[in-house]
Amino acid sequence: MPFRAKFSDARTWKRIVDAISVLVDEAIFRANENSMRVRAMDPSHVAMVDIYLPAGIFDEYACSGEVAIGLNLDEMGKVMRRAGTNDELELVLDEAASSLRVHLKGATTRTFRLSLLDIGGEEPPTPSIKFNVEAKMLSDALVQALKDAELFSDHVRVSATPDGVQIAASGDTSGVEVKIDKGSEALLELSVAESSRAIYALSYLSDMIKAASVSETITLSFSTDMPLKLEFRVLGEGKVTYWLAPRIEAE
Amino acid sequence: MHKYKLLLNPSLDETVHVVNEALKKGFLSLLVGLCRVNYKGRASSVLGWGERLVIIKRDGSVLVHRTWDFQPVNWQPPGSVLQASTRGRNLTIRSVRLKPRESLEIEFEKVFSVLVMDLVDEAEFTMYASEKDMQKAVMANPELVEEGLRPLVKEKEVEHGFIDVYAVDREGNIVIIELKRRIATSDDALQLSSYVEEVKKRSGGRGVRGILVAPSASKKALFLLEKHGLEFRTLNPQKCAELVESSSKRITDFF
Repeated sequence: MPFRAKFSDARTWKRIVDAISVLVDEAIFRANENSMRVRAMDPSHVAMVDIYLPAGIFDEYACSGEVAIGLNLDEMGKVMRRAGTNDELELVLDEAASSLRVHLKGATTRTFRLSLLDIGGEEPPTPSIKFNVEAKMLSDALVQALKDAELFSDHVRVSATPDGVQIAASGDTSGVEVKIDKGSEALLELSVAESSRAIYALSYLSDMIKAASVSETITLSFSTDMPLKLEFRVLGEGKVTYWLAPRIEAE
Repeated sequence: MHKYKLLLNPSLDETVHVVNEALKKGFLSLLVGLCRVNYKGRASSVLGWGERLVIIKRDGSVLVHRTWDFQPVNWQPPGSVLQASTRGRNLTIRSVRLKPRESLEIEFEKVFSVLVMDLVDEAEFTMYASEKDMQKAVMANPELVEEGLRPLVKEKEVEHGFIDVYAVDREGNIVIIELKRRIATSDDALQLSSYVEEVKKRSGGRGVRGILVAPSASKKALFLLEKHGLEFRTLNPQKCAELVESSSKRITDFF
């Protein structure tokens, strides 16, 4: 058995799968002895997600050599929606049958068999960006700010000065500005090498923060007119990183 | 479609012959087979053996498509120079571009099928690009109308309406720009003329120019423009819409 992993709380896996499926319908999970990783770009190449799950965050983890598990995330998502609140999850790779067995253990033990996809594709590289702003904040602060922004526009202006982070959006006649100030309980850490501002599409950002809100805090990094990076932790050492390309407004 | 030729499981020699013929005649070629791809240019890439589709168009464009994703994994734009030949046991299609220097080499070990076709497509592509897109594009890229033009304001209110773009040129003259997304008519020329007259009254001797900007203009419109000392500039609304849309970057731009 080349790959086997267990989470005592099946919902952890559900959240990981949800975090990827906001961008893509299929992805390759690459695992080795030390960790499991996924990296995928959405079809329009505007956003990218990177998931890093070290062996230590799983309740049990065993992998021999390198395996690439191609999965249909729609299918996986449907299976995970069937998980009960107290279910345990075990993933077992069955190479001979070219499938991944998903065991959900609760009052009963259910085994789902998902066919492995033969997805080719090279992994996209890491964008080379120097971030002038890095802000660690309560994820809920960003969730609420983006919901406010959604009332007015399909894109949002994110800016930062040494005093704090600002999220703004405007429509034809009205708008909103949310200030997350340094020293407030919402902003935990802020480092600003240079005041920066950029514009991002709300549809992507809202999906990303929805996935990120499983974590109490998130780290936001960006520079003027450069991609934004949104990171949050999963069970301590696990990490989900999103990148979102900016919009350059011709105004 | 007038002529086509389809070969199933052709030999590599047959494929070379058919593809080179197609290139000479300006036919479109579609090859399906086991290939690998080498690209050298501003960057370089290597793609190992795999079963793919290769499209070669009459203008020299080449696309290599894998069995997923809507975008080609490798491509060359129009104007590239192509040649197919057998090198050793394999078939090589080489596409070269000079400015910037780029070369795409597709090597086939096996061709499953090749289809060459004489396709006719003369339809007009109408994109519903709006005057708003033209306005946004001109405000941000005034060189679309004229080098050195400085746009000051859009939607400037005047007695008879709103001026699309109110600008100043290199010599300090006021420039009034009227944008139309379709062929400009004599009414449009007269509309521009009335704006120019009105602004002249209040410009205190400063030069005032009027430019009608549209994808094309009727003979009558051009005549009226000349009669009133006004100008015409061609601008494609689709190009403006693309400029405005391309304001969204991609993550791949930052690799």
